[in-house]
Amino acid sequence: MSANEYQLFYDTVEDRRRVYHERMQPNPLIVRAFALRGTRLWLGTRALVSLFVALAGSHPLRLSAAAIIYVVLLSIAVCFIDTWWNRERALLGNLAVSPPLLAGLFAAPAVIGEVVLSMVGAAFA
Amino acid sequence: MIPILRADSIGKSFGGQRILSSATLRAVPGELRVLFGRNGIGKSTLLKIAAGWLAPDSGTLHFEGRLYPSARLSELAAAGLFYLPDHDLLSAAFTVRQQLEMFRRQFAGRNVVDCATRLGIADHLEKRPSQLSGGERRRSELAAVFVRHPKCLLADEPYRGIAPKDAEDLTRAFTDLVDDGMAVVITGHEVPTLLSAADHISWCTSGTTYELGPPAVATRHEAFRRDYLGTWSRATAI
Repeated sequence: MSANEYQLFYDTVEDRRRVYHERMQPNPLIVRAFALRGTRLWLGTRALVSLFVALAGSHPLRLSAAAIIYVVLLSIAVCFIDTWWNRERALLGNLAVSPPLLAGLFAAPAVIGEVVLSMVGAAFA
Repeated sequence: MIPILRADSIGKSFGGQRILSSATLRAVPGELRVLFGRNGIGKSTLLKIAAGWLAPDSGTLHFEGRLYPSARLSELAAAGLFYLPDHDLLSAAFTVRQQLEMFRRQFAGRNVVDCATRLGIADHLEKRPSQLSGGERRRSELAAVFVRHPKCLLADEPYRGIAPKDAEDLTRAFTDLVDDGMAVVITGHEVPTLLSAADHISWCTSGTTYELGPPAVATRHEAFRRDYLGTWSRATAI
């Protein structure tokens, strides 16, 4: 690779990195809207899972680490289904919100909620 | 003028059926380009590929001179592209104002109320898109474009299901965007409306595209007249 080609490659990579870092961050309004949806759907998912766990005779607040991971993944999946149901893929794409970023917005409330529930479960144990 | 968006030699198959073999799309700042073609011929597929919505089987996509080997809409949107799909853009989960505000804040865009007033939807800002008519929804989507003010707009069948009056307003809005220096590409079948507004006509047929030039030149293209315009060109004696 010649020096000029290397510089062109470096500039291209830098340009793209700058685009990601400067423009791809969602503004607080988008974060709030989709994190709220993540919270709502995690609550619904968690309530259903807790119901099944309670019916199975276990403590609904004290899940294993693997079960918690499944709940978080399930809640993210439910959020993506809701996004697909609302046909928001184009809206989010035009807002420069990528699917991994959206997954992060949906995962955050689920993870925080599970941590809080684990602490509450441990306190009542 | 140099195209801001170039999709070259695009090929795409679905389930073994070749839809596009070597199609091209250009978006040029300050030009309204119209892509004509029969239903199912691949216009929407080409637009989706150019918007990073679909991955092509072959071909390249450049935006602002930069090659995007595996483009995604979110990536191109950050760089200045806006894609209006052939279904509703705005979500039924939020009000029109909330969604226009998202665009304004994300891209340091224009004033929401000003843009809504310009498109005649100021009274509908607090409504959800599901409460609006087809024409009002199209104008709300264009209001999002005005707020965002992208460098390039790809609009797939923006005239679907709207009244002639709304079509006139929409055409005026598109020409306003072009006058602002935006590169606009539209697909559709509204021949008189689009021919009167377009600067350049492309024709998508048999898996490829033909650059027919300005409307006055395009309408003299024999195969285009015969295979696409049909009786309309004879009736209007163009």
